[in-house]
Amino acid sequence: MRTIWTVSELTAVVRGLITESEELKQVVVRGEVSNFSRPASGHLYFTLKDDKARLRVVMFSSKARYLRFQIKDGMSIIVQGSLDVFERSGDYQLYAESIQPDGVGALYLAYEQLKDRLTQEGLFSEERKRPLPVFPSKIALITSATGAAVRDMLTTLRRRYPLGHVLIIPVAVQGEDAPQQVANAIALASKERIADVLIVGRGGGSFEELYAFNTEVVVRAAAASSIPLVSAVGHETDTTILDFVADVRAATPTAAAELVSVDLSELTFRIAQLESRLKSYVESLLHRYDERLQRIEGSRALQDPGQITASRVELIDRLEDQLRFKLRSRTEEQNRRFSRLEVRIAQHNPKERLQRYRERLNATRVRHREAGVRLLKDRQLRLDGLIDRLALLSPLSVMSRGYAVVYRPADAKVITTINSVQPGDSVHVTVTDGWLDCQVWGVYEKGSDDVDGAKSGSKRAK
Amino acid sequence: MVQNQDQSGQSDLESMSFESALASLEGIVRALEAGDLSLDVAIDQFQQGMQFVRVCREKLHAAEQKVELVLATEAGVTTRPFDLEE
Repeated sequence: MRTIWTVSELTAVVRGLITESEELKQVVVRGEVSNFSRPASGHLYFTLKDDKARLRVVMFSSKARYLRFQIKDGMSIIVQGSLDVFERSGDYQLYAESIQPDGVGALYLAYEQLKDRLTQEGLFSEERKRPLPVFPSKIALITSATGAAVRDMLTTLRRRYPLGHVLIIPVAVQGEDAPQQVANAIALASKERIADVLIVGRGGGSFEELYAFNTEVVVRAAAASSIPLVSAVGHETDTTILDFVADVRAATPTAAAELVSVDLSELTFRIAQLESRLKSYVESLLHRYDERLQRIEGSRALQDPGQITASRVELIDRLEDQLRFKLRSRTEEQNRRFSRLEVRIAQHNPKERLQRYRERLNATRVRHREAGVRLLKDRQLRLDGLIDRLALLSPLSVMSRGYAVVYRPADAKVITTINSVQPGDSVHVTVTDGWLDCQVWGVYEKGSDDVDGAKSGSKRAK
Repeated sequence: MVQNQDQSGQSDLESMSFESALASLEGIVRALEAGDLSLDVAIDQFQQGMQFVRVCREKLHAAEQKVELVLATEAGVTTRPFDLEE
């Protein structure tokens, strides 16, 4: 009897088969999206199907975050992930890790990648953009020679700018060989410099139909163009990589035609304006010259020429007077200065100064002599005085009056007091006419009345 | 400022491109309005200006716009008239 499984046991076994099988560990599945849903959780739930089978797919938000494009029902995509069984519903599911668009999706992807790569290269940087010529004499259109685009552009150009000479380089704008044809056309126009500005574009179409203008060969050709290039692909909403590399992006071919041309009426107006400025300027110039002419004619000088000469004559007279007056005053002024100088010189005349010096010299000499005499007399008087006084004081005269000067021979000092000798000492006594060598017999203090002192005075012992 | 146009210059006036004719016209007008030119110089400039006005107008209303198809051949680039209804 076969063993009887419970549902979960059976499901577990199936689950084991699926998860352990090498083949099913990592799978890549292609299919079309249907009943796509993205709840608040951010996880993505949809069914991947083809014409015969369906497969439930789950993509958790952590992976969904890296999706580079919006998944929509009907989109064909390629999903890479792992299979597992969801017990509760009893069906197996694909847990998606990454999803790429398929077919159109692939084109999107290629579009994104090429755009990123070329952005890195700086192919779309602003500095590369060149301004369009204001009055292009030649305009080249690189588009299909049949179809709405070229017709719209031509009618716009004829209406606005018949002045421009239009050159059409016919190319396929979709399909296999479109990219190369468009690229070659751009290269040709650029090399031959056949025009002043290039419009590259086509009418509206699906993403695949416009894809030629997203190819690297076209984009690089446009980047290398030596002529300013306007991209005009599809409608306003269609963007192609050509738009990023072009110098100017026009929403539609017609818009491109308008961009490169200046409206006829605008030009005619501008020329009329310039013409009127030209005329009005010259008129005002002529007017100004007329005025000056009239003013000159009207001036008094022309009316009455005599009047001018009269005033000239008067002017001359006045000038003459001034001249004479100036001359006279100048000479007088010179004279005055001259005489002043004379006086000053006179003052400085060396003869007088000499005289003055001589007088001063004599005066000083006289004064000098008198002073000398006076001085002499004065000195004489003082001398005599001194002599007299000297004489008075002179010991000689005193001595002549009987005084004598007693010296101590040891030191030739004059003895003025009894203390300076002892009895027995020898002394010299100078008298008026010589000196005596004596010896001290006794030393008596004042008060002993006897002249010879021996008896009554207190005799100091020797 | 302005290319000097001698009398014989009539023809090269015609061959001048619209753009340079317009530029010359603008140059003359600016020069006149800016400088206080002597009378005869101003008159001369004015006459030249009017010539440029005429040329510009003629070119503007030139007859039919020239539209050609560019064909790249081995010999190089050739063009032939292009008719939309073709």
